[in-house]
Amino acid sequence: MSPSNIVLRTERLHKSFENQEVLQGINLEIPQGQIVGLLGANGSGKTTLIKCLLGLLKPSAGKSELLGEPSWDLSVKAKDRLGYVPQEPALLPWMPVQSHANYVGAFYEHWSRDRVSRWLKVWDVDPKKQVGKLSVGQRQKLATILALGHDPELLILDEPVASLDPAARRQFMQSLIELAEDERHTVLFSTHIMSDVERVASHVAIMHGGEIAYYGELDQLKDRIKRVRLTRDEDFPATTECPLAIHSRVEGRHLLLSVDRDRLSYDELAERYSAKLEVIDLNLEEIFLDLCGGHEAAFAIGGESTR
Amino acid sequence: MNATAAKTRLRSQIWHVAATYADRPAFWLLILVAIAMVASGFSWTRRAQKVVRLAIVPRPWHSLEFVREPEFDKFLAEHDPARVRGLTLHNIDHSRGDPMLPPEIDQFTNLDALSLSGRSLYKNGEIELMRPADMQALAKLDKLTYFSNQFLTYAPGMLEQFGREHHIQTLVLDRALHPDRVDELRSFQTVEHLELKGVPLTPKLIDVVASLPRLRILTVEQGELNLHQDHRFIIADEDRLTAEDLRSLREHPRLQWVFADWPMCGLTQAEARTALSPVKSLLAHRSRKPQMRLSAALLTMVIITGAIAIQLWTQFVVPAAMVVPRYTRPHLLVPLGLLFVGLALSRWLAPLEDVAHIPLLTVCLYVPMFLCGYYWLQCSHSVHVRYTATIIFALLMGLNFTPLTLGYDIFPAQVTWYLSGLSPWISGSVLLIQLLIMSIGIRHLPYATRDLGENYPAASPLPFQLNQNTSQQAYPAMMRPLGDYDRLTWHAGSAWARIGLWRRGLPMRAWLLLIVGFLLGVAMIGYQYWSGRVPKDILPFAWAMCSMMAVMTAFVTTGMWVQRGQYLPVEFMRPMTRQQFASDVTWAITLELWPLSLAPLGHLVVGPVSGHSLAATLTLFVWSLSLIALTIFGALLFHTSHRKWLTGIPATVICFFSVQAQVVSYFAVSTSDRVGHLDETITWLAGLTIPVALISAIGLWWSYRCIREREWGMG
Repeated sequence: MSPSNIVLRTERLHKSFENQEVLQGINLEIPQGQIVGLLGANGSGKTTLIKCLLGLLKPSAGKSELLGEPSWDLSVKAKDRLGYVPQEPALLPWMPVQSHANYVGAFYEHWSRDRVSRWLKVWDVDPKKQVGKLSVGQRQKLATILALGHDPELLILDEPVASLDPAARRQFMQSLIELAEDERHTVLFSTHIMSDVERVASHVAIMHGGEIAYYGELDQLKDRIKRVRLTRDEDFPATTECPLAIHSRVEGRHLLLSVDRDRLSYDELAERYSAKLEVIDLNLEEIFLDLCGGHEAAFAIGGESTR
Repeated sequence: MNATAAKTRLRSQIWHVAATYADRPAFWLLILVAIAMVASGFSWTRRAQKVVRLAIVPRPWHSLEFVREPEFDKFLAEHDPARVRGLTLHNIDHSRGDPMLPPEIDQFTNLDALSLSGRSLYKNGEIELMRPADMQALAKLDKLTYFSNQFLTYAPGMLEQFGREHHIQTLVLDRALHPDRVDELRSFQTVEHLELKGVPLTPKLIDVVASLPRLRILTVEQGELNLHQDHRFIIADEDRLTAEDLRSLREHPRLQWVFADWPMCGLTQAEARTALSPVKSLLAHRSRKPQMRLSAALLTMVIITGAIAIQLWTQFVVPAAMVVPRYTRPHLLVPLGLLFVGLALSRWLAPLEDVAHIPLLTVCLYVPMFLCGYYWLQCSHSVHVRYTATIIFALLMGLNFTPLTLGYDIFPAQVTWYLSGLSPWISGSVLLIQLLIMSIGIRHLPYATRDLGENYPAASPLPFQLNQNTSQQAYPAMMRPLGDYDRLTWHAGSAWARIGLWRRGLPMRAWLLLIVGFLLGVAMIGYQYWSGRVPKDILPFAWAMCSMMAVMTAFVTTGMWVQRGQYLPVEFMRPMTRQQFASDVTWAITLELWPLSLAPLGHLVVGPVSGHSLAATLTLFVWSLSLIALTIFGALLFHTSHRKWLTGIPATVICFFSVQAQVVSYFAVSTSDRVGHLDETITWLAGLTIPVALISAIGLWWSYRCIREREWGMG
C-alpha cells in the first residue's frame, strides 16, 4: 500500500477528558476507496476518534492525519475534499431545504447544484419544505446530501442511520454503495447496526475500550473468527479455559470456543481436549459480541493494518 | 356528584399532590425559606388600614369632551354648548390677550365639570395668568362642581372670588396656585376633594386646608416648582413638619385620607408619620424600606416559582403525564398554594397602609403568571406565536423585576392608583386572569415530555428515543433580510463574503429587536395619549426603554452564542482554516450585534437629561455593561464546564436580573427619596463598579478563551 494512497492515518492517538482516557493509542490507516464501518459499544470512543480525525478535538498525544495533512491544521483544499455528517444533524431549521443547500454550497468552490437536486429527488426530500418541518430521518438524509454536494473524496459519517427506519436505512446504505462505486471515494461511518456494515462495508474497524480491537477486511474477519464446539463423552470441568480463545463456555459435554483461526489450530484443539470438533460460522454481530465481550485475548487479534 | 364523593375526590387529589411533593426536600426547603422570610417581617401589632373604595380625585360621572383650544371654534360648530356637561380645554394660549379663555365659554351653561390646562407654566419665562374677564366668564357657569386647572395661575384675589361664586366639590390645582396665596382656598367651603400640585405642604397650607369643613380627601404633590438644578428637591429645615403641625389635619372632623407625595414621605418618616394615623394614607411606596420589601417579595416569588416549576417539571416529564387522563388536574392545587403564599406575603407587607391586598397579591403573582403564560404560548403550534412570545417575554423581562421603580417613573399615577386598591374590579379581574393563565400553563407542563425529548434529548431526564414520525418544531428566522439565498455564489476566498455568509446563518436579527423595542415604547406612549395624559415625562420613559434594551443585549448575545455553538462542529468543516473560521464567526456575530450597543449608549445619553446626573448615569451604564458581560460569562462558563446551556442560561439570566433589579431599585429609591442619598449611592455604586467591571471583563475574556480552546481548539 503506497503512503500516498492513505487518506486517513492515526499513530498512537490518545485523547483524555478530565483524567479519563477515551482513546488509548489508536493506530489506523485507511487507504482510498474503502468503505469502513467503525464498530464499537457505547462509550468505546467512536465519536471521539472521528472528532480527533476531523480536527474538532485536539488529541492529548499522538498523530492524526487526513488526506495527507495534520487533522488539527487542515488546509482549505483538504476541507474542500472532505464531507462530514455528525450524529445529530446540525441544520438551520428556519431555512427551506433548497435555500439551505444553496447557503452551504456558497462555502464550496466545486458545489454541484445538480447533484444536490438529484439526491434530494432520489431520497424524496422536498426542496421547498422548511428544514425544521422535516422528519428526523429526512433531516439525516439532508445532512448527508449537504455533505455530498461538493463531491468529497472522504466522507465521514457518525452513526448516520441511528434514527432511520429499516426501509430508509436500507435505502441510505444502498446510496452509500453507489457513492463508493467510484474508487476515488472513501467512506468511514460509525454504527451499532451490524447488518448495515455487512451489507455495505468492505472493511471494519472494531473499537473496544479506546483501542482498535480489529481492523481489516470484513470477509477476512468472518473467515478468521469461528466458533468451535468440542464434544466428548464426559462433562467438561466448569473451570475449563482455553488461554488463546477469544471466548469460552462450558455446557456439560460441550465446550464452546470462539477462536481466531490464525492463532489456534483446530487439530490441536481436538487433540488437547480429546474431543470431537465442529466449526460454526459466525455473523458479524456474534463476532463483535465475542470480541468486545470476551476476555483480553480478543484484543490481541491483529488486522492487516493494525500495528 | 354528591357532596361526599366530591370530598373524597378532593381528599384523594390533595393526597396525590402531597405524596408527589413529599419526597422533594429542595421544594420544602425553599418553601420554608420563603415562609421564614415572610415570618421575619410580619408584624402582628399593625394592621392594614381600611381601603376606601374611592378614586383619589373622583372624576365626573360623565365623560369630559376633550378640546384643544385652537379647535374650539370647530367644536362649537358641531356641539350645542348647552348640552355639554363636561369639558376639557387643553393648550390654552395665554398670548391671545384679554380674555385668555374663549369668550364663548360662557355659553356652556350646563357645564358640571371643567378642566383647563395651559401649555406650560414657565414657557419662555412668561406666566399664564387668568384675567378678570376670564373669571367673569367662568362666573356664569354656576353649575360647576368639578374644576381642574393646570398651569393657569391667578391674579391676587381671583381664586378666592371663584371659590365664593361656585359650589365646587372637587378642585384640582396643578401648578396653578401660588404658594403665597394659599389663603384664597378658604373660600372653597363646599370642596370635598382637593388636589394640589406644586404646593408644598407647609403649616400654613395645613391651617387653610383644616378650615375647609367638608373636605374628605386631600392630595398634595410637591410637583416641580421646587426642583433644583441637579434634580434634587430642596426642602428647607424650617419646612419640616412636626406632629403638632399635623394635629389640625388629624382632628379634622371629616377628612379621611391625605395622599402626600414623596417629598412628604421624607418629611414625615419619623414621628409625624405616626401622628398622621389614622387620617392619612401616605404614598409609602416612595419610601425606601417598603419598596425594598416589595422587591424582596418579588424575588421570593421568583424563588418559589422556580422551585415549584422544577418540581412540577420533574413530576410531569414522564410518559404517564401524557397518557393518563386528568393526570395533571390535582396539581392545579399548586397555584392555589402559590395564592396562599402570595397572601402571606401581602400580609407581611401589610404595614404598607396605602397598598391594598389584592393588587399586592397580583404583583406577587405576576412573575409566576408571566412564566406560565410564556410556557403556555411556547406550546403553541404556530411558530410565529412562539417567536413573538419569546421576543415580548425577553423585552418585558427588563421591566418585570423592577416594576416598582421603573413603573412608578413611567406611570406613577396609574401604579399608585392600582396599588391603592381603588379599583377592586380591575385588580380582581387581574387576579382571576393570573390564576387562569397559571392553571393553563401548568396543565400544559406534560408537553415538556415531548418537547424536551424531541428537541433537547440531551436535557431530557428520561432516555428518550427520537420519534421519527414526529417533526421537529420549526423555528423560522425572525427575518431573512439579507437577500435571496437562491442567488448565493461561492465566496471566492473573500473574508467579507464569508462573514456575510455566517451572518445568514444567524436566526436573530439584532436590529429587529431594537425595532420591536421601539414599537413597544411607541405603544406605551400611545397609551398615555389615549388615556388622556400628555406624556410630558417622556425622557424617563426613554431611559427605561434603553435600560430594557440593554438587558436584551445579554439575552441576544447569549442566544447567538448558543445557536452558533450548536452548529460549530459542522460549520467548522467548511473549507477554511481554523483561524479564518474563528475570526469570521466572531466578526459575523459582532457585526450582527453592534446595533444592540445603541441601547447602553442610549442609556448613557438619555440618563442625564431625564433627571439623573451624569455621574449617576455613567455609573449605571458601567453597571449595565458589566452585568451583561457577567451574564454572557456565566452562560459560557456553564457551557464550557458542564456542557449545559439549558441550565446555564436561565441561571445566569436570573442572577443577572436579580442583581440588576436590586441595584436599580436601590438606586431609584435613593435618588427619589431624600436629599443626601444620591451622592452616597453614587459613591457606593461607583466604588463597587470598578471591581465588578474588572471581574466582568476578565471573566468574559477568560470564557472566550475557554470557548475558543474547547470549541475551536485555539489556545
